[in-house]
Amino acid sequence: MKLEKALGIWPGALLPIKQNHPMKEFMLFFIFEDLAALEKANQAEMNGGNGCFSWIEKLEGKYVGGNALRPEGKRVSGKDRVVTDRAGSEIKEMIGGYFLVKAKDLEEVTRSVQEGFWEFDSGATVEIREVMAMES
Amino acid sequence: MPNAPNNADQTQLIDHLFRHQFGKMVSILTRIFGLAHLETIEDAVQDTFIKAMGAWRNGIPENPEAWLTQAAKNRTIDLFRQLKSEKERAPYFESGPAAIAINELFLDREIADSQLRMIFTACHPALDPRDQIAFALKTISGFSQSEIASALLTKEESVKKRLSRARNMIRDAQLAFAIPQGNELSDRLPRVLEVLYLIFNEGFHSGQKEMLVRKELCAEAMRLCKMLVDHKEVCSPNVQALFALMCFQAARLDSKVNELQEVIDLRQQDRSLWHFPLIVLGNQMMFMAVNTEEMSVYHYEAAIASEHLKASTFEATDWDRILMWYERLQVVAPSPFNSLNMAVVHIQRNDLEAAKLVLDSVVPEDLEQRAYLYHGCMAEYHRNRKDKAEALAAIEQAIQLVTNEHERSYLLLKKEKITAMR
Amino acid sequence: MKQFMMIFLGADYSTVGQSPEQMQERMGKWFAWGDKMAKAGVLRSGDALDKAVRRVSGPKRTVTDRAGSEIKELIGGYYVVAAKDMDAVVEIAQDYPDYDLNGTVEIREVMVFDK
Repeated sequence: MKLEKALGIWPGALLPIKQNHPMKEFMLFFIFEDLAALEKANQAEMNGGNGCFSWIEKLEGKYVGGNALRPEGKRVSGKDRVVTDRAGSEIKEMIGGYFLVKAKDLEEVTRSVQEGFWEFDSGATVEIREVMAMES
Repeated sequence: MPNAPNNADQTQLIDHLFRHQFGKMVSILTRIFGLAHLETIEDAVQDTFIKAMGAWRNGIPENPEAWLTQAAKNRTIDLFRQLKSEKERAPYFESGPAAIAINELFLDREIADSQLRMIFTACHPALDPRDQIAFALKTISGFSQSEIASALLTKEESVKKRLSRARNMIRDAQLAFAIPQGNELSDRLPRVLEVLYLIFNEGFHSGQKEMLVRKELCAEAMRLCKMLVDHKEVCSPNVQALFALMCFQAARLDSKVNELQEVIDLRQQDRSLWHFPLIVLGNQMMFMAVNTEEMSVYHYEAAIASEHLKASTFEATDWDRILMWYERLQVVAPSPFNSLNMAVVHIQRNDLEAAKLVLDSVVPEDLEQRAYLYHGCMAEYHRNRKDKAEALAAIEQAIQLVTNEHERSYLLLKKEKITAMR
Repeated sequence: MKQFMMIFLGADYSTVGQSPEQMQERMGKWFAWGDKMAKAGVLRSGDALDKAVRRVSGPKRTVTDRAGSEIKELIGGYYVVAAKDMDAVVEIAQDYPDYDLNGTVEIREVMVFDK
């Protein structure tokens, strides 16, 4: 079975949102110490690591969507809209991917993150941010 | 994860919604929590707009005002809770019957009532006149310090000081948050009208400003004046006359200033740019305003303004009628500026002797920084008498005294015309 | 078509004293940008994020809370868009409304795993 199908993280497969859901939504940014750490983590998943898939399974209906992000990127910055390339080993704190999940509150999602994120032992970080919505 | 706004219409907000809501929410929350907590309340309302900017990323709520008001209320309570844990100064906020009564405060008529209370607070005699305008523009009209500084052509530091003084005065005098009644109302109302008229004139008369700023000031003064008009106990013939006057002046705004922010003479204004609906509104208001024994400054100024508006051209103006109004205005509120206006009217009526009589009664120094107006008027008088030398001397004096660049250019043009005389 | 994420950094609204009028104007620019991308059929998703930051870190899964104001490059929100390549997204990113507040758009390509 193709990995992206199993993971269900191909953007076309993002689960639809129920409009009147009382739950809050949270963005979880997966942050790695540097490029090397990020690449190592990606490699692990591609070599059959189960971390991502297991967590999505555990989340069930609370998993809304997610993506892994390619390490290289660009930045457009400031008043002069300066464009810079983002690549290289000097960059600290790289976002490697994200999940968008539903939860009752911050405590619930924190627990889920602590139990579910699969790269803590290698020193990675998850940043939890509540999505600003009209109902909150 | 919602997608982008799928209903394009839902991304349009009424012009100045946030700015007007600021005033409404601050007034309502002040009614609930008290004047002493004004700064906390303003912070809460500011935070609410920031929250809206995020929460409305994917669309506007069905009732934006209700959303904002509810969010501001919640934020204020949050801030008070924080205050309470830091220092025990926060108000004690309980639920139950008091909470029900508070919900009633969010009804439209109560919101209007609360805003009026804020207007009367801003114009309280305990406050310094200059501070009153800054305070009103901030607290009721929702302008920022820098926007007020642009509007009043002053420094932001200065505005900051005025606001601070006003707040301190309100706190120290422990002003009641109320609409005055009976005798107190008739005592306090004149100052309110003065302040609103001052704001209006900052938009209409005052020096170089972007047309946008002018319109916002005039519109704001009218919006606040309309609140007075709409309140049964507060409305009076003078209030109506002021509103009518504002309508008449505002009707001419588009023709009064050109794209370079230069003021155009009444003689040269493009009358096709005058805004008819405002003239109609002014007339309707004036019709009611004249139901009174005693006419005010606003009545006469409105009458004069409406005479100009009736004329299809400058030449067709009923100068005799205007003169009559100026004479009555002079009785109610004598001023050297008024005298100059009368002299100009006499010149239009070709009664140069009468013009000279009036001009002789004016002491230029009384006009202070605007003394050049006297000399400009004298130049006009002499020009009409074909006294070229006298006219030139007078216009020269005017040019010497003027400080404003736009006015200087205007006077130099006049000098050219005089020089071209034979 | 590829997918890209635009991550919005910096531009903390609460530190820049904006007037209600300015805030409404800024929000109008966000609406206009969202509409433009939606009409072009390129917008997939997006949100603004609340300022409170919680991080869970390392082998001990340590939890730390920080106020948004303490953080240098605070993530304010994101959009996911469909585009041909990175340069196309740089073009889309020109309409980001908060450059004047020293905001930054970081553009990253969404990774597809099967290759």
